[in-house]
Amino acid sequence: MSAIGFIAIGAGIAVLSGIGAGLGIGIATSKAVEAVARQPEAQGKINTVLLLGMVMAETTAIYGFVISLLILFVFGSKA
Amino acid sequence: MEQTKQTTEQYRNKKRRFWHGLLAFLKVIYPYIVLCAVYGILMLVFGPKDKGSEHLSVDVPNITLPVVGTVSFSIFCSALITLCCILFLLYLNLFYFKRLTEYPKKLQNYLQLFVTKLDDFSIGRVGDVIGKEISPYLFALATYILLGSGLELFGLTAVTADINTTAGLGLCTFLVINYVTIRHKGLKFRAQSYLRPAPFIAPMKLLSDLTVPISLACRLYGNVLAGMIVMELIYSITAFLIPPIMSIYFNLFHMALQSYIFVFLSLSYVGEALD
Repeated sequence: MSAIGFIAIGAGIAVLSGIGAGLGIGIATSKAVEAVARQPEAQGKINTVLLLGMVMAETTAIYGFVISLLILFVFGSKA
Repeated sequence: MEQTKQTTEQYRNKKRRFWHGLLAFLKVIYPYIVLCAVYGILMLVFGPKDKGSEHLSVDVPNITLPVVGTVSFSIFCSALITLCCILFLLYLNLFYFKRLTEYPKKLQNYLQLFVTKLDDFSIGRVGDVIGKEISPYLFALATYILLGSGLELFGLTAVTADINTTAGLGLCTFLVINYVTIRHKGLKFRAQSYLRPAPFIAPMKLLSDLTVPISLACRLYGNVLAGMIVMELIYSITAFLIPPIMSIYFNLFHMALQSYIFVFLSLSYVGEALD
């Protein structure tokens, strides 16, 4: 396989970090829905906390994405 | 006699008004000055050596500037657009806000709502004194990110799709965190906060503090760039009917959410440092 193929595979592996973020955001949202169903008057506070948690969980996916872009464009332009 | 007294009084009034005006002017523009200064420093330090952010085009020409030296074209572009953004926001600050009336109408309604919400938001998190002090900075961040990302709607590259810009913003927040904490709680408090639960945790705390600007920068950059790439892909499929609809999500909603998240996280980092 040529070098560019390996680079593409590496970039693909880096984006696998999205799995964890997806799971985390899914769990957080399901818990938030339960919490709102149990206590609808606390929706504002729950939303704020949920957003913070989701942003934190999303960070890993974004890191993976940035790393894969770096792999593609930095190594890809050299190969 | 009477007349000279009057003119002196008038002159004094005029002078006072001038100084008040200058003070108000400085109060309005100080967040933008901070933004400009940090961005400029970052450009000077990292700009010439850096090969430029990875915009989707591979061959970017280099240009030579008088002071900075050779800079890649993409950095120059984003710096120029940043400057334009800041000038536009300054124009709004200086000329639109003068015309505000006591009873709001049209745009002023939304503006007042926005400012009041931001004030309440920051006061609710970090208290009365610091909240009032930090809310102009948050307003500047929000407007800058919104405008800088919204440029995509006009066919320009979003300023925040350049990692240098977002790194500058992250560094600004880092500086603000340290400044606010040291000013209001003292240097001793800031230094001791590393030893707070137990002394051996200090390296971890230091590390988590230093990753704040990096994580803010990468988050904004990654999100905006992802939106941009998705839009490019959609445009490459078809330019009819579908892109504008998708653009509502990827350019408008997404950017508003990102600027909210950036402001929210900046505030919560400040609150965390003050606790």
